Amino acid sequence: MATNDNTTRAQLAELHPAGYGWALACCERDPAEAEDVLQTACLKVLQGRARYNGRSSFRTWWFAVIRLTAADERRRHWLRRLKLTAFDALQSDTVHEEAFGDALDREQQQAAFANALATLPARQGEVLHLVFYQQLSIEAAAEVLGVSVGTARTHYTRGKQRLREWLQQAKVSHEPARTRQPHPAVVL
Amino acid sequence: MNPHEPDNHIQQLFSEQRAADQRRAPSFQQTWQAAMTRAEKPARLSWWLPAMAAASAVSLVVVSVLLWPRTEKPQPTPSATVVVSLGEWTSPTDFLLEPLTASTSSGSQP
Repeated sequence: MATNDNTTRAQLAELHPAGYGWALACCERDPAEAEDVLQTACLKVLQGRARYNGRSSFRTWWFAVIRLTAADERRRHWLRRLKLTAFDALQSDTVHEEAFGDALDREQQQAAFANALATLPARQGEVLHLVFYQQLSIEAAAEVLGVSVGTARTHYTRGKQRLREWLQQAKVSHEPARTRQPHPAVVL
Repeated sequence: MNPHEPDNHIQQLFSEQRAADQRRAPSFQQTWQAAMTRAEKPARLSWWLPAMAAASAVSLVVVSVLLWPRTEKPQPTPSATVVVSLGEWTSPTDFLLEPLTASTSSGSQP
């Protein structure tokens, strides 16, 4: 029994960075909430409420536990979320302007990318995260999300299409700034 | 233009995001320890569940009282006999008086 616990713990430790990334994706990239979700998921393992039964890969199982825990937390904190949504609505215009404006350095580009991901429907964002970030196959992503492979594939295709459009739009709005020639009057 | 270029760009953005997240991730030891501490604590009695139940019960009672149909005493429906005015009213035994008067006036007495 203790050996099993130790093995599970070792596997969880190995998956921890990936698990944190997935928790972030499930919590709209809120670090405090992601950490809380990970703690609660570990608590479920410790209390035996979440047990790996070997029917899928350990990673798939653990990611499903994190996803369900995040969904529980979201339901539990709906009131807090409601207040934050009202606050975010006030700021969203500014954020989008920044996203397509002067996102020149990597950090700003990352922030812009995170914003673009946040505008996708949740399922699309989750599938893209699992495939591109976690390097899972679409089949494994479907298993984590508890949907059929066909559904996961549809979300993947649509999400990728929307990200491509965003990239195209971002490129168009950046290019004039990068390739802008100095005004002849200034050169002279 | 390479058709896979957007996918490569998306992949690159996700890879950068992963690298940034891993730099900020709390250690596993810290997370596990926090979970162990929570496991050792006695289950916290959540206050909001009984509060919500009590509030629901109170509001149910208030709504029931407000919407309860008022039971008033039923008004007696006016019957046909009451509708007839007193001037037109005749007693059901009125006919008994008629022959008696007729017989006395005709003088049919022996």
